[in-house]
Amino acid sequence: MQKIKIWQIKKYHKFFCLLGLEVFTFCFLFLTTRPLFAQNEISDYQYQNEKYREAYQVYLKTREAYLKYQTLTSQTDFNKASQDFLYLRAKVLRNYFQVIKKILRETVDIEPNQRQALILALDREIDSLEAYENQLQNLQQPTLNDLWEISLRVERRVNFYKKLAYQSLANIILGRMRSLNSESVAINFLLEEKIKNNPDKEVTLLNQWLQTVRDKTYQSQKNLEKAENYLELLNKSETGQDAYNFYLKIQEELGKAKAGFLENLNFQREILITIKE
Amino acid sequence: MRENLSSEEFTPFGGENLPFKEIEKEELPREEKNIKFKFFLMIFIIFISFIFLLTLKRQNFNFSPQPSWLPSPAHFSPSPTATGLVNNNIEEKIDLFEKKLKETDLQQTEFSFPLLDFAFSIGTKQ
Repeated sequence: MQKIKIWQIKKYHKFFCLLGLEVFTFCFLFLTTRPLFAQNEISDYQYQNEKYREAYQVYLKTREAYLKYQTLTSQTDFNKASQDFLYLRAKVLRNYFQVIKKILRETVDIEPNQRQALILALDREIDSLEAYENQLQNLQQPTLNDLWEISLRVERRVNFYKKLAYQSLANIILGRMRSLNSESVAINFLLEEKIKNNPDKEVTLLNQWLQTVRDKTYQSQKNLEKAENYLELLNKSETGQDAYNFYLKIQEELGKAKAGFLENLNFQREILITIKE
Repeated sequence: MRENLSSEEFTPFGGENLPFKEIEKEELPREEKNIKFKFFLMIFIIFISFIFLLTLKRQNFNFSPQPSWLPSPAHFSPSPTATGLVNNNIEEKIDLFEKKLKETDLQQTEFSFPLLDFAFSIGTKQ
């Protein structure tokens, strides 16, 4: 009898050892394999967006029916559809912020303080939207007045949401372009070395070409600086529309910088071919 | 004195001659306690590790290849010696740069602010 008991404990001991190991591995993978989860979050956001579209159509139809017939049944249907619509609207917003947060974390060359501040702000909104969703889900037979009040809580923050989204997106594209700028400068340095190591080639001409490339890089860097100035204005903007307008200007400046880098790329290739000939 | 005692008469447990089976029974719970202790210790370690990892996550600890506490590459101007240490093949670098440049989407249409109806209260009140 005693022996059987010990054997059972030993058996469970092994089982719990394996279970513990699995839990630990899962936690570690959960925290480290970010790209996989980022991909999941993007697809989750897209899926919720589709569900929102469907719920929105139902909401519009039931509203139309309610305004037309003014019956208790149509009112109940409209209330239910409104509750679903508001719930999914909050869910889409939350998933959108989660996606942006993930991309912010993965993009290099974003100023660390800026990144940290944005992630904290996004986290706060994600938590508050989650609480909002739970509250909506737990409502039993809400009246239209209840739903108005609840909806207002999100609607009052729309400007802030838009500003936060455009601030994050601007930082993401700016970070990517900064990274490309570093790479372009690195290629220029390598070409300079290559020219120095091949004195039998037309050094003067190649150096002239390289100077042209450097000038173009400088112009692109100027565009990046302009984009950074617009980002400062975006950070100070008070409405969502202002934030969006500055975001468009940032896109425009970065587009110019990108075109400059693309033009440079052809020159850099030409210099390399000439050295090799 | 001891030499004179037979094996049956020798009493190691304070004069009481216990049969062999009873001694075995006494030792078993000790083994059980040991296993239980190990088991609880293991659970405790797993729990502490889990809390530690969760805390790191809550504090937005960056596990990405470029940790947030490290200065970004843009803060350094690339030197020929440094670049020579990593990859000196300019052709490869140019190809990679071109690929990255073309893949860089500045429009970010996929991630632009979602088109949501924020006029529920206003629309209904009207």
